Amino acid sequence: MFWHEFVYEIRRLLRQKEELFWVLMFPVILGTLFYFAFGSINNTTENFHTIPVAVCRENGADNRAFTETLTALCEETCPPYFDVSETDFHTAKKMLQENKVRGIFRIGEEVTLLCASVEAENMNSTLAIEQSILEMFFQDYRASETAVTELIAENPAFAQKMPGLLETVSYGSPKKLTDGNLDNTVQYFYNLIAMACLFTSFAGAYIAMNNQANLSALGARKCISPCRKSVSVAAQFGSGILTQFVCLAVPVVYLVYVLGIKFGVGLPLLFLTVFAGCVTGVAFGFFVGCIGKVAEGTKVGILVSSSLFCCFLSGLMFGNMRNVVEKFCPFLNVINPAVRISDSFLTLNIYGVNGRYFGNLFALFLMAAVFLAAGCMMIRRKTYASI
Amino acid sequence: MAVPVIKIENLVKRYKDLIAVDHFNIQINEGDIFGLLGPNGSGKTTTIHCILSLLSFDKGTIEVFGETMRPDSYELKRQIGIVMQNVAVFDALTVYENIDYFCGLYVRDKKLRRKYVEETIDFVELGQFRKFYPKKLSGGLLRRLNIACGIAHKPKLIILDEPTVAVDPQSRNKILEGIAELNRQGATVIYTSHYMEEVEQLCTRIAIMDHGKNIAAGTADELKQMIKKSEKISIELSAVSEADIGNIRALPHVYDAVFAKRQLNIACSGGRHNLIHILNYLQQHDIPFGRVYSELPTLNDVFLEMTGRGLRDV
Repeated sequence: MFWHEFVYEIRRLLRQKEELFWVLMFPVILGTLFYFAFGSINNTTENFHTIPVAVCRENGADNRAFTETLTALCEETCPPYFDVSETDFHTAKKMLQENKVRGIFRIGEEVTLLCASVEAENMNSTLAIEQSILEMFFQDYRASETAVTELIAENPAFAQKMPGLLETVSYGSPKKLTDGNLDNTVQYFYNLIAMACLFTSFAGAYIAMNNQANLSALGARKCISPCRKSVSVAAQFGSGILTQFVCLAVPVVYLVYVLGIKFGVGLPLLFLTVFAGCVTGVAFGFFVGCIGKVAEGTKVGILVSSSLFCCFLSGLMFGNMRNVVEKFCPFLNVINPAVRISDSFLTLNIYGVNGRYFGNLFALFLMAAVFLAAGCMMIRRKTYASI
Repeated sequence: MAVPVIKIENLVKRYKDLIAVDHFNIQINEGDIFGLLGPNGSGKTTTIHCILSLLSFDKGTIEVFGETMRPDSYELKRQIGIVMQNVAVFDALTVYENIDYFCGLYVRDKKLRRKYVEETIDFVELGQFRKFYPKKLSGGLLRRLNIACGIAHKPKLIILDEPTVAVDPQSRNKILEGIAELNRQGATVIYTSHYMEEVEQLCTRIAIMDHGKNIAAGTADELKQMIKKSEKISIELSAVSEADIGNIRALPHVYDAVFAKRQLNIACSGGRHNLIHILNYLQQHDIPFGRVYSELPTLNDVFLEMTGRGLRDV
């Protein structure tokens, strides 16, 4: 009886186009839209190009500190911040006019920066950004130089300690704390998968409705049959989780291999998280499906709105929302399955498998157990007062 | 001696202040096609749900095959087939799969199940639609599929709750023929309907329900004998005097005569040759008449006389 129910439920679920859309196609479509929307952000932030600059020394003048700083930024960073061309001022000015360089550092008694006017005809947004970077660098340098000069003037002994202090400063070699993907936009993909996991609740709701005589004609027919309700629910719950998990695995593979979203871990751990999400989603749907004699449309409405609300709180629509909730009502984050799912992905990405990750999985399975137990309590009643 | 398949004694089911089934008693014997006839809301479906232990009830006892029916009476349930009033099939499964699925809830042996499913498909004549999904079927075919899902496991007791609602006449006839055939094959049938013609045509015994009460039970003939009117004669007349109408009322077995819209309607109680007596009177008094109709009483007349309103008026 179990296998009979199990097999037919799989067949039924795999032919429910509406349900399949939400767990299979919707994440693919929304993921693709996210990819193109956030892809341009990545292009402007990550595709940094080396800025060409000219350096002119008046009468062979030298400024050791500035020259060393410039050298560090050219040699210790990848890609180099600046591409330095040493030339005379006349040639440098010509290069600036022809956009071959973005600015000219004139090293005399003082170091000065000359950039093209922002109102110049050939100015565009890329040139303007590069010019801004150049100006910010120079302002920072001047501020530091002034501060150090004043300190040495007040306390000459400080000059002897300077080299030691400077050894600890590096302009261009940040130390990585994680091998994970630090791109902030990846959190939207975490939440997208969390939402798809919660949409598996539709399958859970139909399990409940198809097994209760007071909720559907099919439920009445099932209740009259000699098949035990516990066997029927167990078989359908198992097949529901299996089909929803397999369907959800497709968008996950699509995100990883087609769109190239970096989740920081391999597929097995991603799948384990998605599986936990599916179990919670189906159990949540089963619980809602078991609630009283409410119309099917109303229950679907409850599931859609509650899933979207959970995802809103976890940051699907507004990235910082989860932090806002954490500040004002942290308990909501604890019991929100969407937060637990997205936090599992975040933990895997940044820290790898650790206690926090297993804590999230435990929370998800615990929620599923509570929903399932509560649902079973509601439908274990065997005769109805009204149908 | 008749073997009771279902025995209901003193059944009472209340929905808050409404009494849906009111001290209802029936006994349905093996081999019966038992009709539960009553208008919508008379308590037929509620009674069926109580028999099947879907609904709790306030008072009374129900025995099925000599045992008290309980929600966990799985062996009893194995012998019952139910065809619900609302079509209860899976839209995502084909005709064959639906029948196989529901049959599989009763029959574990795969070979036997396959045989039963094939026989049922032939029985309801859905062979050419076996790969169709329910949404592609017409109303009549869908009803046949609904019936097939309820009877595929060859139950001893088949309960059909208004299976012909919204079905075209051709499909309706096929369904009724099929039910009669199931009975010939040995199944006891309970058939609920508010279509009196169907019940009269099909059922060997009938109970008439109204407001949850069993107001009369017996064969169709027995029920008709319970009422005063046994024949309705209608005669087309251009005119007739009040005196003649009075004289006709005075004829033997005539208890009512009304002239309206050029038609004289005469109600007669049991008695032979009523029509001849009336026509003789008209001829003797030179009253010209046109077409003449004679109708035997229907179950609607039985219901009308017992409740004061027709089945269709409710």
